[in-house]
Amino acid sequence: MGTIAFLPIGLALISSLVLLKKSAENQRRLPNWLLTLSAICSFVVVLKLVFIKDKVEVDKKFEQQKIETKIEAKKELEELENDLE
Amino acid sequence: MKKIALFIVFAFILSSFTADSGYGIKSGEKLVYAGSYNMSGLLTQIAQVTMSTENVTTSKSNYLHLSCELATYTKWDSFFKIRDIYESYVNPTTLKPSLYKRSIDEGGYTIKEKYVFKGTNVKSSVTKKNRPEVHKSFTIGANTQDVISLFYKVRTLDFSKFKTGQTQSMMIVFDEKEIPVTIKFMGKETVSAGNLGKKECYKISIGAKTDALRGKDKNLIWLTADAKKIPALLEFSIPVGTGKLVLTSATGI
Repeated sequence: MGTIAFLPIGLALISSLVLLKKSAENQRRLPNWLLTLSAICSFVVVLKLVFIKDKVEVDKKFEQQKIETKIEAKKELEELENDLE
Repeated sequence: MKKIALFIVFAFILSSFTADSGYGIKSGEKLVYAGSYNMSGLLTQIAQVTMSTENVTTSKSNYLHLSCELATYTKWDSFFKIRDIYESYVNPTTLKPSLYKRSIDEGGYTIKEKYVFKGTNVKSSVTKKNRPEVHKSFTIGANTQDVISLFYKVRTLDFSKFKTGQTQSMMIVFDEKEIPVTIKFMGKETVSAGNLGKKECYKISIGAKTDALRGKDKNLIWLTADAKKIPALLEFSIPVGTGKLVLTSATGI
């Protein structure tokens, strides 16, 4: 199961690697920082993916709507039963 | 998102197989799925789909209430919140529908739909956001059902008698019209079925004459190859992308 966060992180990792390879030896400080930052972000996303489970918020409005719909449906079924008699 | 919801419903309408194994749908069943959508090549979990059943009693009759809810995970709610409900009230034995209701809320766009079944006549009412309610009355075939009840009906059928590649057609009601659906039995495969563990499943392809589904044999459902026929996995291909529903929890079965 993937996550959309890997898309920008992956691009950042690739760009950092390219920058690191193209840079002169004495100018590799920034690419190294960018690469480290990208790796940390990637690690955080993986941790989040493994340890934090997706959940659905309890939506009071939605729950209320479901209750009302059921009550309404029961009335409609009784009306239908009367029509069919 | 509407197309995804539409597929989910279509995926749950596998019907048209004929033999009945005698297994009835129980009240109190709850199936929970994690819904993923392919975003820029990455399959991302976006929503939870819950299928549940319960008994409903009126002063004169008993019904089985079949419900399918789709809700985005909290982290997506601020981007695009979805709260959809598809419901069917059916005869507990024959699974013939009496009332079908659909309530859609997708990023603020709302639709409320109701079909009342009187034999082969259907009275529908549809209310879309900022539009007046539209009423229609139309005739359907004797065996035409709503999408939710058909999903449950297929689980009462005996797939073990079908040969690989065997197809059958039937009609369903969706969007105020009958839609032909073709089902193809594609053999058996073992897939993960949430808390049920790995299960041997019937692999079935769904084809419908609608723009909502794309590709040949790209809309698939795996039903556990036992008497309960629990849908363990669903894959879909729609005009705006692909995705899947993975069973995470099955209780009350």
